Amino acid sequence: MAQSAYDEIRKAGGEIVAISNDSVESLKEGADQSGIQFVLLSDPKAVVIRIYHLEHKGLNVRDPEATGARPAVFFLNADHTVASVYQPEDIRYHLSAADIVARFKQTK
Amino acid sequence: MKTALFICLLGLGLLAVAWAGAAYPLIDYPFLDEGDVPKLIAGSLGGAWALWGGIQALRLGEGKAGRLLAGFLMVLGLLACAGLFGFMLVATRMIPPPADVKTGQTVADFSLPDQSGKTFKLSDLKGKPVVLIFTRGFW
Repeated sequence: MAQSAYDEIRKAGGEIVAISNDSVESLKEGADQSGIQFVLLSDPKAVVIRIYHLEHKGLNVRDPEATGARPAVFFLNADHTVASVYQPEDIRYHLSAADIVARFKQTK
Repeated sequence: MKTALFICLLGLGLLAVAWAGAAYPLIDYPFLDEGDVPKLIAGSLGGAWALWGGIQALRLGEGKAGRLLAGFLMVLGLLACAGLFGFMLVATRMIPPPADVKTGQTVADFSLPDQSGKTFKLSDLKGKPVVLIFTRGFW
């Protein structure tokens, strides 16, 4: 999804940065397999995820200590102020590539 | 006297191990979790050990030099112990308070390792609009 929006965003001078609780190794593996070119960040202890108030505990039934991020997308202007926020109530919802590009175009 | 000094040194060694264990992960992730309990136990044990060994050495110590050494080791142990717990206490409070992200607000800067292991800093992209995606993973 986000990868198909990446070229257009790059061309417009923007960047995509994704944060998850994956380890660096699994990010590398995932990026190699899926051909993702944008920055993937590893936050296994949910430090940054917590700062942004997006911690999701108990996301793995077999591992009660597992902690990750609830999905959210922040569109930041060039001065890194927030242009818009996408945060679905249902964690299965995602923005489509077209939606990402459309919202990105509204950043300054 | 020799045994007591040995016990004191053993305690100091344990404290050093606790320090190394505590300081290393806390540099990246400034908070404690359940995995840090052994370090707290090792730190307390090391402190008690060093103190007890020091007291014994002081009690049994012969000559000024022996007492000085025992006293020195004891103070070192106490300092290391107090420092360890002080450091852990400070480190746990280093987490910035949770920030609600609202339109118009400037987001907090952060740094994390990326997929190639390099450290990425959000502020390195200052001047560029950014799409910041938080995801459950499974890339």
